[in-house]
Amino acid sequence: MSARTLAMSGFAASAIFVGALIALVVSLYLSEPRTGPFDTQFSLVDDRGNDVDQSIFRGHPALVYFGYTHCPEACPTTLYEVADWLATLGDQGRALKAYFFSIDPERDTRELMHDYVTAFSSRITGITGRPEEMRKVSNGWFIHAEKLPSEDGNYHMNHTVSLLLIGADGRLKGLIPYGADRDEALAKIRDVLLRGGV
Amino acid sequence: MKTIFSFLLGLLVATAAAAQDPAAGTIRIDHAASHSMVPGAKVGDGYLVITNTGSEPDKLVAASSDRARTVQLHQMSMDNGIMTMRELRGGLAIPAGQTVTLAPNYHLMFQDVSKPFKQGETIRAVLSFERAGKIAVDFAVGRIAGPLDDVGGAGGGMDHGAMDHGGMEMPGMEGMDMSGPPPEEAIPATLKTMFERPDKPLTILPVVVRNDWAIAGWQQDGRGGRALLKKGHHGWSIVLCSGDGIREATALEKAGLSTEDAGALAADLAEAEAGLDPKVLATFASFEGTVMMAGEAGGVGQGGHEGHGQ
Repeated sequence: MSARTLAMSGFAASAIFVGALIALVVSLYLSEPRTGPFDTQFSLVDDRGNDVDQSIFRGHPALVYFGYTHCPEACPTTLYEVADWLATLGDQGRALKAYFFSIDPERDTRELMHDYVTAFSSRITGITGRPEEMRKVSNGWFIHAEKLPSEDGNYHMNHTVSLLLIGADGRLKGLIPYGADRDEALAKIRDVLLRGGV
Repeated sequence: MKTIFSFLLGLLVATAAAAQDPAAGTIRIDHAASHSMVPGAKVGDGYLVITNTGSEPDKLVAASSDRARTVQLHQMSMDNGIMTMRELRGGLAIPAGQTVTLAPNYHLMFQDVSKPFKQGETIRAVLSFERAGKIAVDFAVGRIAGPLDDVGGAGGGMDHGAMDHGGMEMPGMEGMDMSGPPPEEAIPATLKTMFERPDKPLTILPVVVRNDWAIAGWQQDGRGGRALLKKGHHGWSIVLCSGDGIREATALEKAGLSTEDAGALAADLAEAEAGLDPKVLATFASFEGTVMMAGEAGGVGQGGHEGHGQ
């Protein structure tokens, strides 16, 4: 009944978003830069209370992940890996920023995000804020995030678990799929973010 | 009257026999482990290996713990980068004589945990099986993330010890993956599930397969291209999308295929496409450049793909 219908529509929505993600990657990889870099304006806050807007995607290459603190597996695993990558890259990765955007900003307060990200690395910045503002960012990067209510009144989030590699020019340079091999992930970061003037 | 009495007696005996049946002895739990909880987190996880040493199928139907308001059994699935998590309401079947490992496709989720799991402690939960009944399990708590190989061994769970650990090798989950439809059916089904929309039908033709690699031609809404797919733990996934860029064996080799597979796949593709309408081939060719979708293919096009299409 209604739950099933919701699941079905979620499924359909996810298909659209994957299609859109591919379309985005396609447009970014093609020769003509007809789709510019991320240019949606938004206003959020980081885990230390600083204002965050669209300029966060400029000036530094960044590892960008969308998740939530009630996430049972993918998010802690990914942040754990990001912390490891940052430590492994050392000086070579000094310019890299790492952003953890909450797709569940209703529950993820600034304080909660601060405790959460700093448990992994002081170099990971947690970002949350008003849901409608967050949606601008997730939609802008074609991130799929959808509430899946459970019977006990709680909900989980079905969401994109690929990590975005975003260049200093604000363009998507690549994706690291969830569960990627450590060496491949490091090679990809070095290759697309840290090599030559990005 | 006597008949009814003996019937009732028989029923009583049967019930008593069932109650005494050491069904609990047919379920073995190993490697029960949890991650310690990240500050701020409200949920804890639990992984374990369940072996049914009996001759009857059983089912894990519920779990509870004093440490959480509810404990749910979750099933996870991945659709090209999107993780979907569902509560497994019907329970998890543990076939007779089989071992089922809850990671990575399944896990227990402890909801609304008031006292966060700390590394080094154990978390008691009670698992309810359809036949074996309730079994108490202690989950050893390890690091905040990453592999839990170093915990949940001897100290965690109810390792009955007496059983032959050779049973652990039985691939409960892998076996299920193997029984899926052939790739020529699975690949179009996967792609259609992901990309087809009611107003934009997706045509997948042809599909050529060589070992764990496949190329599928696709057409949708006047556009088209070729997708290179690879079979992984979660079934087939797209490695890259391209047009004419992946027709040649050399390009496929660059994408990570062995020389032999690349040659064979390219030849199969040429043969499969020979009978197609030139208009369809032109649609495939209209896809510009090459787009990498996943990183699983091992050094795929490292350093090369960014420059494509220039």
